[in-house]
Amino acid sequence: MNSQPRRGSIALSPPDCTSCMLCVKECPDKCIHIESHPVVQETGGARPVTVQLLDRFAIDFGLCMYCGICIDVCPFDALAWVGQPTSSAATGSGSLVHEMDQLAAEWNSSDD
Amino acid sequence: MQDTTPVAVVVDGQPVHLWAVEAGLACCGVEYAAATTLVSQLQAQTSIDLDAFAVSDSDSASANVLVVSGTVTTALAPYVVALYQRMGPGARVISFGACAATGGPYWDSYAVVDGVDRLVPVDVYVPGCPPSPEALIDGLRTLLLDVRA
Repeated sequence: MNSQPRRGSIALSPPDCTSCMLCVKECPDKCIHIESHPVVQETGGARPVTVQLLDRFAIDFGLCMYCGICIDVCPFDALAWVGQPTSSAATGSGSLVHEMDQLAAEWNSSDD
Repeated sequence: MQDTTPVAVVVDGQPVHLWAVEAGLACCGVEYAAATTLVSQLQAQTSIDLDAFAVSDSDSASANVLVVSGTVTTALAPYVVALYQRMGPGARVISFGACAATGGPYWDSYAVVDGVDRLVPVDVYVPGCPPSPEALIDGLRTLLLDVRA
């Protein structure tokens, strides 16, 4: 079953992202930008746990090669192919940088 | 380096012709040629010429769209600028592929211009490495809607 659209756009599920930076490290041309800050959480266990809270997640689709390596390496399936084969022509280079809210909206709109 | 190709694209259900001169600088040049083959299939349909794109000659001086496809190296940058200047006022530029848009995987190279918009004003960016034919059609449609607006 190959129901996933290849070379569409790439969407993000922010709640699933742990800011582990694997996609940033594996991206061949470094088109993913993540900013996060540490938050100490009391889990009721033996000691508090420090997690990275996501502040910014942006993909520069002007740079993106649509190789899908980020989707493959994400341990939490926070990234996924969505939409039709690339149809994101833009009239300004700035509009090719998709920020977290836009990536999340694409994720939500692809849910059936 | 250049090849003037009439391509047709459907806007609002009407096929529209435009003359595009291509600066094929790297692998995307081949991909652009392959993509236009698909786009050209639309020409089989009844076509309506758009006045803004009606030019009869096939040299770059009368082409109205410059498609920069491929890696713009610093060595070839002056030729891209010269090509654009030959096209005269009103010429539109399409950046085809990641390299033309931002330098792509070579953005950090000393020998590559990180985005053709550093040389000439770009109207439409078609993303991808390489972009799919659908992306090119989408880019042409975006450009034509922009021209008409």
